Amino acid sequence: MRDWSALVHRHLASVRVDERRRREISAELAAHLEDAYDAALRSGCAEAEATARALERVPDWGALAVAVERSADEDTIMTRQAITVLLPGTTMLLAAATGMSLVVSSTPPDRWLDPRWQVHTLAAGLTFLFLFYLLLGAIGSAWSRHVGGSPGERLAAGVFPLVLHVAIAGPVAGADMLYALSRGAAGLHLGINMINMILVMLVVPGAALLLGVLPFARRSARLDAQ
Amino acid sequence: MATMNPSIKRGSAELAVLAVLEQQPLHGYEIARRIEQESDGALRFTLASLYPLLYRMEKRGWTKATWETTPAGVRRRCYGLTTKGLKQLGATRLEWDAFFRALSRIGGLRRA
Repeated sequence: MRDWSALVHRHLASVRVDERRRREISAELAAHLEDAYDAALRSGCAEAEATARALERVPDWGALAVAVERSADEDTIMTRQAITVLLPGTTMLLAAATGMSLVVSSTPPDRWLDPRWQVHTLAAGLTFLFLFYLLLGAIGSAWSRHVGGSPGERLAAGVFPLVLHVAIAGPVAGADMLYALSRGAAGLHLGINMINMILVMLVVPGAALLLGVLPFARRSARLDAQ
Repeated sequence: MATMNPSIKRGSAELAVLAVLEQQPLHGYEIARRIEQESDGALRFTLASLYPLLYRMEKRGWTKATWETTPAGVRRRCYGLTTKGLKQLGATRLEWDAFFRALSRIGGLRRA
């Protein structure tokens, strides 16, 4: 007997609906083909003919995939990417902005400038930044997975708060680089500052977000088995 | 289904599905089988024509689908007509009735 579930699942793998819905649709269509196959067998067909009769119900798998996808898209207010990437990603970005604002506003200004505090402040700040972003990456990615995001969409949702950092650090780093280049050797210390800023603003939070995403970015074996 | 204008085809398919579900909740294969049987093979669904239609009808609230397990332990998604679907069936019947009356007058068609 043919594995109808595997056949349908393979042909509908490209359909852009959430994973839970795809599994439901695949199970339903496989059941239909199985019923058609069983009915053909009961009517006296040999296995090969019964299989052919069942497959007459799907003259074009591509057309079926497109029709299923279109029916899933109709009447949907939010697009798939809005649900699986933008919503969790933007929420985590706002949480990141709020967290960073709280840290900056709750630290006395002189502490940032006091040489005795700088090393401690930097170490504490980087540790907080790393752990906080690890959590944000994990939550964003888990949220995306919960609403049916693909591994790529979970990754995008998880690292989305980095947009904030790129928006802040990008122009500053660019301006710094231009200024350092215009000053020649005298601009070397500016280049070092720029590397520090890239490390603190992009590399550390980016690495933390990626690490947070990792446990949720893989395709779930449990969900796929359903 | 035979070659036909897509909007007429979709409308007729909706009527056919709603009408068989009026009798009792059914799963997809059984819906297609009954329509084919009761239309003497004139209306035949492929998966690509049946399931998107069923999903649209479910979204519009005309049907409600539930997973049921048969005595043999096989899971099937059964569609039942909702009150909204029943109203829609009444309205669709009236539309098609008026359509066939008009065609009969113009084309001299005979009705069963």
